[in-house]
Amino acid sequence: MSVSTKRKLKKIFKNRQLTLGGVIVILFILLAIFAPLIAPFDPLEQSMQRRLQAPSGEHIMGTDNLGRDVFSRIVYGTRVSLVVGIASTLMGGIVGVFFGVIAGYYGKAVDTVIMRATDILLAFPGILLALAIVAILGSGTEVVIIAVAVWAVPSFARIVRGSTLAVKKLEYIDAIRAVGAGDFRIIFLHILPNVLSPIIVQATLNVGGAIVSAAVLSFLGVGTQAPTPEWGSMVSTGRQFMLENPHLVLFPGLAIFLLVVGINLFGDGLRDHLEPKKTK
Amino acid sequence: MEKDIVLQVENLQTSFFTEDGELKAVNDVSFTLEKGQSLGIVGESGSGKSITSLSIMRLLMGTTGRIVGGKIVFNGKDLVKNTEKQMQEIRGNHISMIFQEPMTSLNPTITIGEQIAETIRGHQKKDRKAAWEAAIKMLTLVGIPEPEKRAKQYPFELSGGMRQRVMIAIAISCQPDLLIADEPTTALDVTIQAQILSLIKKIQRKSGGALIMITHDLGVIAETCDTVAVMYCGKIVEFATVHELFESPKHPYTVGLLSSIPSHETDSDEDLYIIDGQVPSPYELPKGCMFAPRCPHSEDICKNELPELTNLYGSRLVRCHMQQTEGREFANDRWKSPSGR
Repeated sequence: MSVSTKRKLKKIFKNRQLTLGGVIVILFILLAIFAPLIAPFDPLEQSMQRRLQAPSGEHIMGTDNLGRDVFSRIVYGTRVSLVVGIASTLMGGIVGVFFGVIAGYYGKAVDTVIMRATDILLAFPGILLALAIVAILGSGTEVVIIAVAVWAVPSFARIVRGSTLAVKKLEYIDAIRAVGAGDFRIIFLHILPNVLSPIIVQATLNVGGAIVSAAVLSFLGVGTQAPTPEWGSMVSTGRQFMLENPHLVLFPGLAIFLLVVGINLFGDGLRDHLEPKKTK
Repeated sequence: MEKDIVLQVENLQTSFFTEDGELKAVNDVSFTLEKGQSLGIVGESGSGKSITSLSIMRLLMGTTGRIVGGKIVFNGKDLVKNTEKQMQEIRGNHISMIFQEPMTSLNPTITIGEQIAETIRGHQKKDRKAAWEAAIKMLTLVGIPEPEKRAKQYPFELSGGMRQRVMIAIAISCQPDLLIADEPTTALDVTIQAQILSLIKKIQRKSGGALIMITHDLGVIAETCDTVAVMYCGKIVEFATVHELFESPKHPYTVGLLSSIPSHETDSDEDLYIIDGQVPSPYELPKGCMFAPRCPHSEDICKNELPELTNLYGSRLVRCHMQQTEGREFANDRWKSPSGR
């Protein structure tokens, strides 16, 4: 390992937020990938004899009202949450970045139209917007992804537009234009790579928000449908038995909390790492 | 001598439209440039020299500036009438520009080799590998040691002088007929300045293309140019060969500029010459000669009538009433006497 690589790694590990967040996120990702190996039971297997058991040696997080192993369901639920979080961020991110860079680069009327459209989207409370989309398209994991993606578009567009405004005024853009580069080449080869770090930070933080939104939609019963294990719907079902069996809401709630905190720590740490000037 | 005209600028007028009204940045500028010739445009900040070059490149979009009149005939075609698409074809391929600030004129996220190769690929049908090889050849040409290694480096790994060499490599990568250098050495160390200037000169001589050198530094002009246009407030006030200009400046402004350069004979205790007053605001240009308010020789006619750019002899042009009537010589020492400086 070269000296500079070592120094870079050292800088990363010195950033506690980044390290802690990264470890949490990686653990959850591993959990999602190796779910079949980690989960002790089939998450869908029901058993009337094992209904509503408290946490024990066999079922470390207890069982739910249908006798399914809560731990196994949480492990499998990681998959849904991560997929929804990442897929919706990718979708919303790509659309938002595209509109943002176009608005920032062309300015004038193009900018006004795109930015006012994002203002309109932002004016709706996120959950209301998502509910409206679900109402139109019907419920299900795919629809949740789309709904949450739409909600992510304006924030990406705004951030990218701002950065584009700054970058397009730099002298090297003029220099590139002076050697005959067209708009397309300037935007995608010379502006986008230079606004990448705020995009990465926003994308990371957005995954956390998207996971919470998806869980909320499922909690309201319009998201991922039963019997697929999903943290939000687990909290929702568990709510009915909460007084006698608090573990039914406690563990899925904790899972959401831990993953989102991990992602946000990671995102904040990443921002400090990529844009150190802004924080110091 | 065979006359092969590369660029002919005729009565170019470029204005900026601001809230305070029209601002004439370039006002009726004309000059011709032959193949292999180098023209210096000299003037202080705001004299319109950079706007002239940006007008030729048609790079005014993004500003409030617009060419409002005149022609820019390049290789027989009027660039003012070209579409943006046609201009993209010309920029970098037939006309190139070197900018002032090498530290910020390169994309920080792309290696310098790729940046050169990208320009080549933008204009020539070359595959990735051929363009890369051409880029390395360009780096060798501009005197960058270990070009293969340097080509893979990012701009931040290079010094200012090196980056300006890279900028030159990008500018000449498609063998343009016209190279515009806009203050190419202003941001560099003095020792590097000389190297870059001689490199630009060497490349121009080798390629036989035309060169426009835009600067506020008469020393740069002396070193690189054949002819000089002195600009003041958007107008050319004097046009001469370099030799003539330094030997016998005809316009009081040129005389002032030359007097304000320290020389070997300048007494170090003595203050340098300063042209009194300020460049007039472009919104309130004087009615007569633009330079009249600052000119120690000005008479009534100067304040009321704008002098024409008149031909004295050969290609020598000057915009001054005093020269038209009597062909007066403005001796440098006479300049120092009025205020006792």
